[in-house]
Amino acid sequence: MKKRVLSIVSFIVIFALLFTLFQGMFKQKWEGRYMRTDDLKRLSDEDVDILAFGTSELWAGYDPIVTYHQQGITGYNLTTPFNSAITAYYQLCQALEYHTPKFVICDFVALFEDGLPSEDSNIENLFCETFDILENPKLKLKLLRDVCELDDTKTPTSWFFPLIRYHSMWNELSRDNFVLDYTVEPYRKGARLESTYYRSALYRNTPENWNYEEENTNLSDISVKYYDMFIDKCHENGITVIAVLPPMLYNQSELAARYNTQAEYFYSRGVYCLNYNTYEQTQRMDLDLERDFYDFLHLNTLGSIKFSKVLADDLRTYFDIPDRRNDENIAGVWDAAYEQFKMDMLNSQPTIRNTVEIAEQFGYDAIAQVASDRDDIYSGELAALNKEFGYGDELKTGYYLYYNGVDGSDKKIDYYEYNRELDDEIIETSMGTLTRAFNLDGEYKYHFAMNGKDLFSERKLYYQYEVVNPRFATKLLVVDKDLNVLSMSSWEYNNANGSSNLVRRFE
Amino acid sequence: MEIKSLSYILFLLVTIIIYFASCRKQSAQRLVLIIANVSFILFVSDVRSLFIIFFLVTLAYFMGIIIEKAVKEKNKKKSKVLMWITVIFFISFLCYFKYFKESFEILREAFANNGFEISSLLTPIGLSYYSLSLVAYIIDIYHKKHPAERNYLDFLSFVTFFPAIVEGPFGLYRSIGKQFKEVHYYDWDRMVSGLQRILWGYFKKVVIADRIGIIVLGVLGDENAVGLLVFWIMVLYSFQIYTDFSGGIDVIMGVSEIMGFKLSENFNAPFMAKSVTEFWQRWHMSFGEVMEKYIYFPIVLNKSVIKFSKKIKSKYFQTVFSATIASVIVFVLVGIWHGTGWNYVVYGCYQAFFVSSAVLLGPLYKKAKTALKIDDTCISWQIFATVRTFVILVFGRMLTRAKDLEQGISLIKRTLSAWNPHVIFDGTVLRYGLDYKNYYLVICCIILVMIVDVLHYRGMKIRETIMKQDVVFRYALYFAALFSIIIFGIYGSQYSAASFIYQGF
Amino acid sequence: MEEKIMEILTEVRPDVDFENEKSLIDDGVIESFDVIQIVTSLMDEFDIAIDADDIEPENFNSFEDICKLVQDKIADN
Repeated sequence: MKKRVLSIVSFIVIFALLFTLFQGMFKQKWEGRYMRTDDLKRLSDEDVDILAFGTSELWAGYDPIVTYHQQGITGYNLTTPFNSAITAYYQLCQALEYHTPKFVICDFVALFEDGLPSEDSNIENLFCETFDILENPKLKLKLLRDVCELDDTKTPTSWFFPLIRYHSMWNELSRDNFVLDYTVEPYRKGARLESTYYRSALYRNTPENWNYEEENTNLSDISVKYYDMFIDKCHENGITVIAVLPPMLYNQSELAARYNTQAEYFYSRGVYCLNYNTYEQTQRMDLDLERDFYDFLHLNTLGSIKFSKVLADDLRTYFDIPDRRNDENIAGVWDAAYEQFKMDMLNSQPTIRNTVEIAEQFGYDAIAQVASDRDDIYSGELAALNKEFGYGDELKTGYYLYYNGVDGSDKKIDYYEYNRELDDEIIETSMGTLTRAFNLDGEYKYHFAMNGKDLFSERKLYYQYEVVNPRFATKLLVVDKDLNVLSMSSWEYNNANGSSNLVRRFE
Repeated sequence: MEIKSLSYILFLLVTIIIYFASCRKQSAQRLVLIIANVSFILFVSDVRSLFIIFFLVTLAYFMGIIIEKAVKEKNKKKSKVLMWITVIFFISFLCYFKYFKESFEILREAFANNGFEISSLLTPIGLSYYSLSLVAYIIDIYHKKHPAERNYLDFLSFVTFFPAIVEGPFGLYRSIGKQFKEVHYYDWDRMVSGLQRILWGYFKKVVIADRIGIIVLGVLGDENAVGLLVFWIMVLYSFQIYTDFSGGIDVIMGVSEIMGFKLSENFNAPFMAKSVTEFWQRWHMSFGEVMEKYIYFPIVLNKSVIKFSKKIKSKYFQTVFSATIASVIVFVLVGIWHGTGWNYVVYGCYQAFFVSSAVLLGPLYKKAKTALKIDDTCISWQIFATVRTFVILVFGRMLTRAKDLEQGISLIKRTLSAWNPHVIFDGTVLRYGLDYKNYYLVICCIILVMIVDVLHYRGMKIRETIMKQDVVFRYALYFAALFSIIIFGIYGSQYSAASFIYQGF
Repeated sequence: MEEKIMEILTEVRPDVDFENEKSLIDDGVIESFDVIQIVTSLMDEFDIAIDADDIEPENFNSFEDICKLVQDKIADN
């Protein structure tokens, strides 16, 4: 008898251990969003002046690191795809347990829909994600009860054990699932930052796209109830709620038809509204459906940088949000994060054209791609760019220089060949003169003199040059054949002394 | 509450615990079982099913006693008439619910349109199974095989036995009736053995059958899928139906075993059959037993039939006549028992054709084999026969998988319309709902099931062998099975990473 | 009676040695189809009733088994 009891008990114990082990493996990644809670907990209150809640458009659009750099506005992006008012409310409750921001932005996207899990498997996933993210068990239970009450197709049992819920992902297990230590980039702050681009412009952006026939006034009672709870909770905690409607270049008429109803709702609840879904705003941001979106609804990295800058400017204009750029506790970390952000974004672009566009956003006005004689530089995109500027299909080993016309001259790309025979080489190009010199330490350095402007590109070491005739500061980005950033040099003319033309370099 | 649900497992747990707690008195234990049976019927169906089953059980109980009395009095005519009336009543009852309720539905709609409301009549749960059990019971009493059951509660618990009520196996009173009059004590080894069987059953059903179901649905739904792709999918469907049915049966048998009941086996390595006839002796065996004992032999051994066949001029036909006719009748009935619709009738005839032609041409086949010097004990012939039988049956299944005859025939046409062996290997199958990992999992599991079947075929008693192994091996096996079911099982929402990415639709 | 039985058996399966075979069913010497033939002839010849339950291996494994079956059935009458 005793033996039997022992065997039953040991069976159950081993089962529980194995179950927990497997459960650890079968955690859903939620496209990386699952790491946000840990990240958020580690931050201090000054790091989180703004919290963002909403759906994937805001997830793709709002980059806290960019708003910081632009106007010193810190924040964190807590949006999730397919938002529903219920999950927004619970996400807010959970976030408030860690920080109390001064401002909350939300796109209130579910106002016109119920957002219940039975509607759509995507919404069901959203509820699972929210459920997974909630750490406070009381909140978890409340969410579960609310959902089961509103939606009679849901039962609690499958929700409690992630292994039961996610068991079918066994065929997608990858190394990630077995890694114990997860790290988040310090600049991410919950943002999406997707660098592909849509490539297919469906239509031109004209004011007529925004015309609509009939206003949409059908608010969902469930969503209104939960958004009211959301707003009230914020107001109780002294938080200003700002509705931010991200720009979209699709379904514009539908969105425009909703706007008046939304505005009325916001006004009646004391919520401010920043609407970027207008022709003027999209023009202000110079949005392009082909290049600034990764699908026809969501901004890619480039688009999000444009949007976040404009959002930061407007927030600065209309609201009293602290400018943390001079805050000694904060600035050091955020500035360093911003530099890494720049580096990672410049490195992660799929084509040279994308790199160029991002580099422009970061204030670069020239970019050079270099290759050694052993490298191949057959980038299809470079070929396209080459062609665009009228230089034919062929790509050769050598140097390509791209100039973005910041001084009002035309954008240019130029190619010149690499001559391995010569140590010191002077090459005349249509843009200017490139000198390659071999220094005493065995490193190549390049000096590019362009039509009276001097641009320097260099391989990693700092050099000081005499500049003959600088006209203005330029920033040159140097990338290699794989579009990896070699140097983010920025050269400025410093004539504090008046006579000598020193050049200072920022990395 | 299906077998594949948490509520079923909880129900089992509670029932088994209370069942063994009450084993001191047989009457208490019997009461527990009846309550469990009744609750089960109410969970799965509704009060009407309960009412109908009570009605039929009570009727059979009283008629059994009456007929027995008539038989004892040597009143042949009376007992025969009573028997026939009862049997015909039960059969008509069954036929009504199974076959004619559809026409009734049309009538009902007509009534409803004119303002009359008649409640809908869904087939009561288990009717197809227990009505035939009751018919067999009555016939056996008439033939003096066993006395009528005098204890109503024992009889009730036998008919309504909850594990077997939904999908069988058929329980003949003469075989298993007395198990319901005994006390069942708790036995550790029996419980472990039963649990093993339950685990295996769930594995087959939840991991294999439902997974195959996904891809079958995908391919059959695609009008452009033709030729060998359809054939291959129907091969997989054969395994789906096998693992689904036998998996469910394994769970049922396991549960019964834990409770101390031994029901009739339903499957004995059916795909190893070398002829269609042999297949039906290995597939749904409890049903085959009923058909054989109550239809086939009664026809073949019927005096009038024998007399009639004696009159046949040709010696050859004389020998094969009754068996052929009986086979045809049995298999047509088998066909229509499985479902309503002309496709089932054709299915029955299809099976009947092969079985009866085997009978009809049996002597000729034998002569041909000796003439051609074919040795049918050698392995190559056995493999050929097995494959041939399997292929024949795959085509038969196209009729039952389809929802009606038209669809069944179009399915067969689709299969024969193209000769494209490459589709099985070039990845086309992976476009229908299962990615390659899931697909290979299915194939591996099917191979596993076949290995187990071959071992059974060769006489190995797997569960006994497992019990003899050391605890590490056994535990490893149990955990492997349990976690395979949890991780690979098809239940709940099927998540994949792709479903989380917000697709620009 | 036994001769009549032997006659019936050899008529159905002239190739089988019913005198000496002791595992007609178990060894697959005769098959179910043959059994049916035998049974129908026996029923006809002796005017007995044999039914499905009697068709078991132990009743047909040898000549002696078959004779015993027939005797029992005659006694039932």
